[in-house]
Amino acid sequence: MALQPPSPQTNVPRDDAGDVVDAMLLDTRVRWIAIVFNATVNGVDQFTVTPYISDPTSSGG
Amino acid sequence: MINRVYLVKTVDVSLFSNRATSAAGSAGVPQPVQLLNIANANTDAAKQFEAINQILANAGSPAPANAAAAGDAGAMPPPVAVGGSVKLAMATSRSVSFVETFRRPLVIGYLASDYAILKGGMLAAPTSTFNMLEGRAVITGKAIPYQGCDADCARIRPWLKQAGNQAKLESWLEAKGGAISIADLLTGDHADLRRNAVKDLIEGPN
Repeated sequence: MALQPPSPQTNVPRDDAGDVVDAMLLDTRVRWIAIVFNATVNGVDQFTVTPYISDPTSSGG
Repeated sequence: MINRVYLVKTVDVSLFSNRATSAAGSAGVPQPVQLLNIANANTDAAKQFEAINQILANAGSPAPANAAAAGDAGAMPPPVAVGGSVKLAMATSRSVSFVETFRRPLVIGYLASDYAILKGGMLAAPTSTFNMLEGRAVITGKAIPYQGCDADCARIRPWLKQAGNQAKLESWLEAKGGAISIADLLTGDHADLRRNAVKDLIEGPN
């Protein structure tokens, strides 16, 4: 049984986004990752990090 | 958001069949279509093409090309026929090809991304419109809140970079972790699972 693909993670602080992306890319099925600004909380920018196993900008993967 | 549009000006359509088949199509104002027996072996091929193209010309015109126009002079103006032109390029008893040229380019496809609009007008991460239309999941799972990297996460991360340890952790997750991903384990809401992973894999069973 293969592991489930990584889930999107919300409210990821800017300084931690790299580590989250790094962990998501351990799954070789992940081809694309979107990092979208979420909010600034206490002066810290937070992002939603979304992994994709297919290309979100087209029909292909 | 549409980021690319595909258009065509001319279309080649080929239909092949090993049985008797008929097909008809129209663009813009529908016109009556006359039929012709293409597979009639007793007729001249050139005459067949000429007859077919005559039928197609009549179908795209306000009035048949061979109608007596002089007698109708002064009658109502001919209606504007919207659509393209079509011409028979090749026909055999098993296939028929058409080359159709449109007056204006025809949109045949596009690439687009869907962006959910969040609170405050912010945009969420993009998802493929095609995959959404096809009902295929493109986002790998339900979003989970980031929990930060606790002490167990901080122990797993450097251990994970050592050769062979990723495979060990994956096997452990399959057996004892509900097959969640490593990323979910590290910073998701799985503190107990992280603790157990550290115990089993890093500290070793006592």
